Amino acid sequence: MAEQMVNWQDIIFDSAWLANLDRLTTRRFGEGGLAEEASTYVLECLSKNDWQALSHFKGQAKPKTFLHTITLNFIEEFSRKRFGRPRPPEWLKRQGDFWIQVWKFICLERQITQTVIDRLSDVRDSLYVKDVIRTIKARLPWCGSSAKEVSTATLQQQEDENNLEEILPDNDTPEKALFEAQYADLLLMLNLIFAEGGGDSENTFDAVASNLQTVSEKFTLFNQRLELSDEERLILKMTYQEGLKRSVVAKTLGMQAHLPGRILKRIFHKIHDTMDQCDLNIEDFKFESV
Amino acid sequence: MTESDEFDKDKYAVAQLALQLSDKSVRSETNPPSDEDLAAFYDNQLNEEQRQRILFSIVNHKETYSRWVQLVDTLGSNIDIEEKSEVKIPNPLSALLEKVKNWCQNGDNFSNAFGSGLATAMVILFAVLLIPTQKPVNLSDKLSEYYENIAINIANQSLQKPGLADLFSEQRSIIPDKEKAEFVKIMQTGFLVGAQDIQQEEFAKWGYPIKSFSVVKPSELNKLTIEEYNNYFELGRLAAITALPCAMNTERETLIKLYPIAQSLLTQENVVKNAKIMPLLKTLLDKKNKVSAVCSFNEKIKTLLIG
Repeated sequence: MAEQMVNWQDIIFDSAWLANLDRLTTRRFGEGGLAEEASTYVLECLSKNDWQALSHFKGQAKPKTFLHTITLNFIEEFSRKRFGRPRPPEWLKRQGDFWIQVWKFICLERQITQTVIDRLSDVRDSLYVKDVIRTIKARLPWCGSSAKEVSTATLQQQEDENNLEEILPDNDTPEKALFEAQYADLLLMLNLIFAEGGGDSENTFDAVASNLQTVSEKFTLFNQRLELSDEERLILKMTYQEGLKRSVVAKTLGMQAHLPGRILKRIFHKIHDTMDQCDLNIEDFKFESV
Repeated sequence: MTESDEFDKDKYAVAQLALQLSDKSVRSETNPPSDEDLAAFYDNQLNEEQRQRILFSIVNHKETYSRWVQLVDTLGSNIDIEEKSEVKIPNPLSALLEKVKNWCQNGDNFSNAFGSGLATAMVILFAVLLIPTQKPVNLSDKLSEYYENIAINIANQSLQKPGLADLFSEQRSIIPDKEKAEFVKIMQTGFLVGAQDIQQEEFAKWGYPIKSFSVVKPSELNKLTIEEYNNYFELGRLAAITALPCAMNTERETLIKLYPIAQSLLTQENVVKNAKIMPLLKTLLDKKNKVSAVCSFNEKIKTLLIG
């Protein structure tokens, strides 16, 4: 496609776009000086070297959407420069990007919980946001309170991994050990979903260890048999991993509003069928702590 | 999650189970979609083959998925770049000013008797009287902080360099008091107030906007809104603050700090549309070196004040 000439200055210096930039940075960093600094940083980066950051635009997308993606990159770059690039625990990474985002806001940047809930509930159910925060806090009790949050996170992660190693037989292959570790994480998280008030992590872990042996073979079978298309997986992830509202999923994937609901119904039908085939029951995960 | 208030934990747990057990995604790929590819996917402007390629990448590559979610998270919310118009977040002071302004302008007798210029001036004075701290009405507190910190530094530096204060006085005195556009007068006011405060080290009591009325008579204020008034005043003050560091040749760090302030001020909606101001912005953005950009801005703004 031929390169398209866009007058970026006209777009960027338009009051509506500048207001959107402020809203993006406020949404990311909360009200205050940090958001303003981020806005300034983005403007500087965009205008640098005669708008070089935008020069590779080919006209495939709408200019404003393209500008939005570049802006997000710079906001993230600003955040990394300010807060570094801390590593979230492995179990948390596996829950998806939304969890990492919440972890950053609450545990690293120590933003006020209610503010984070309000801010993130525009495209999500607030109960989902609250549940994610509760789960993170239950598994990372230091969250938002320690002065050395990053190193504590790493310690917590190592602690989890060490504990898992203890329950794995010596003759396991590393690949199997990894699967087992993932299953254990999954069980822990499912338990936390059902537990009211977060549960006792030490006792929960013992309960997970005893259940792990029972369900791991079923998990492997389920993994082999469940077949979801790319689109189905994306809708499932966006809805149940990111917690996005169905209207948002429909809008962003260019679908009619009712379609995500219909596709999700089909997906759950497939999942339940596969669970039945593998003799898996969700009640199995509502185990009591020992 | 559904949009109703139901939060079905069983369904959520089943979804998590399915997603995590069937997750075959890898961290990154050798040829990830570009930013524009993702934007085009969002805009639904790809053909089916391209769409499937990007979809595959989003679902199977963690980094691409992260980028996609970030895009959806912001574009899918009420931050809608296409549809939303500007929503101004009112600050208490501007809201107050607006109220008083409306009161003055709507009061027939008041407005008819004294004219809208005086009404505007009264608005400002009235607002200042209501605010015991007489805090400067800046674009933001952050900018104000910059002004204060940098101005103190400049004043200290200039005191150590004989002759600089005189240079500043000369610069002030060459600005003629003749007929100019209203916005230039406001900038001039800002420049003179800023220069005076730097010389007298009275940063804690900038005195704006009361002091400004010693330079611009209330009857000369006719067209500018409160926001415009603020922005032009700050531009003038910024010119004052940049004058000495540019003359000193040693204050690179200060000038670099002032660059984003200049950029913020010049890109305010009501300023950027001014044909006389546009070249200032161009000067600022064209330069690769921020120090020379700020000093060129300073020269041009002074030319504008003198001309």
